[in-house]
Amino acid sequence: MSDQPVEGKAADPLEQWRDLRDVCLDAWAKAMGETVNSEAYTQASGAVLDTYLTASSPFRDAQKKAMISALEQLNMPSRADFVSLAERFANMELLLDDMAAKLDQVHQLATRAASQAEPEAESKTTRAAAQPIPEAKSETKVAAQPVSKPLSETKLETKPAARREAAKSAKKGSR
Amino acid sequence: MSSEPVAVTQFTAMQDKLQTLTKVLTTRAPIAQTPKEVIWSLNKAKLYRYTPVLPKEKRHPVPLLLVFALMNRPYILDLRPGHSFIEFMINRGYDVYLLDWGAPGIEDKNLTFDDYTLEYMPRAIRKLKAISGATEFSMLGWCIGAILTTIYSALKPDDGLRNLILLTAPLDFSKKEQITFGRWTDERYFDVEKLLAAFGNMPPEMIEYGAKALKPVENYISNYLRLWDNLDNPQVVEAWHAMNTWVTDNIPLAGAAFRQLIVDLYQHDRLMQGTMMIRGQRVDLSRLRANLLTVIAESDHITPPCQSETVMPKVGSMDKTLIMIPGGHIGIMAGSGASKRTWPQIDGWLASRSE
Repeated sequence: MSDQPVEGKAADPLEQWRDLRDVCLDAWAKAMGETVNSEAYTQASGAVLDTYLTASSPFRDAQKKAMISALEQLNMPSRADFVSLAERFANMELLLDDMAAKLDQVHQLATRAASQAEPEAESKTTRAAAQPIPEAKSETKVAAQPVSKPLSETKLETKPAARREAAKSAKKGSR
Repeated sequence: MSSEPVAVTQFTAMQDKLQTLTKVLTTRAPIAQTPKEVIWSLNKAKLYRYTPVLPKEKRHPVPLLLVFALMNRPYILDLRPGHSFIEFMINRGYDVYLLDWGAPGIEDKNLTFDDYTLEYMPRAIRKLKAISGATEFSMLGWCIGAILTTIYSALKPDDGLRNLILLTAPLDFSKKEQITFGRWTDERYFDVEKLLAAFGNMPPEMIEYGAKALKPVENYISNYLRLWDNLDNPQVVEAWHAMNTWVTDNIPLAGAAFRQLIVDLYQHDRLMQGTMMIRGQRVDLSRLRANLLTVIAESDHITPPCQSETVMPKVGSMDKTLIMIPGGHIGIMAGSGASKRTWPQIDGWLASRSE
């Protein structure tokens, strides 16, 4: 029973008050649940929202016009300008995403072609029993790259430090 | 026994309670802690890949993509360490990806379901496939995320979707008397055009009010009393803090998508009637062929069971399962019993279909 003190724990004098409070809240919650589900509530809330939107509309419009005119006078871009810019950026992102996908496709095809060419080159090398062919070597290098990693990512993952090192060694080589 | 007078002890206890209360009500809980990286982004949307914890040979080869609703933050799926669906699924060997729609600005007010399902989702999925190396994937959609995943699955049945999980999916809007949102958005009383002309996007404050007003006493009073009664219980306080952080972190819903939600779905039930058009293409649910799991919350007041169960005979899937779980719209996935009831059931269904 709830009014019996738990072993090692003092009886809470507010326990009964809390029980009563919860019973009242449950009853209230049930009544409110029925209210918000009623047709009358729907009508009333719709009317309140409609009144608010209708009443605030002239002020909003006036404020909007005043702001646009003030920004124009100050040679500052307005919200519409920013929105238009943002839309253009989003469209550019879409195009870039399409290009990245096409690059990935090209990379996959190239990798597949290279991996198919590799056994052919190897068999040719064995048959000829001659010196290794330089083209076949470079193909083997391409084929060694992981297939699942798209080209765009491989580029992105290159660390700046590594890029600087590569640039330095390239410079040295050219000298 | 303590030598302090009772009044001092009581005062100190009250002071501690008030300090905890102030902290919980004025700060954000540390949430969404599972390690992840952004692998793709477009406009405000981001695709995350969660860092796997199991070696590749122990993981399921079919990756899992999570798609949440448009008007809430998706970190409810990764609420806090030890109580995170994403963490649970990673530990069970899934390669988990999350599509976060981000918060639309006024410049995104023209985004529609058409854009989300035919521009964003295919691109995110393309990236998921490129990163994972898989040709097939599973997808889990929750709430409006379930509407988007259903539309996508019906429009692109050959895109490699093997398994589809719909959580509390509002798909059937025909039984208006059982759907409170359906009543509130009745075209006789609710002027969606006037609202969008005023705000552009659906403001987050109105979304929050709408969700809370469904159960006003529970959300505005009982919820805070429950916290007050348990201020000396750190576990309850931590859970409450995390949930409150999520509940109060709402984002706007793109105006055009909101219009579609209200007009096409709540007012005209076009998805189930088979008359919903996405970029001139009819959404035919019979074209949805992926293995389907529909999860329904028994006491869901936002998406009552009648909105989800009727989709089962409409889809073309051969393998379809429906489960009812005790709990509410959010509680079944983020409540204290979720890790014992809902998550293992989802894992149990998905594991055998992800090999």
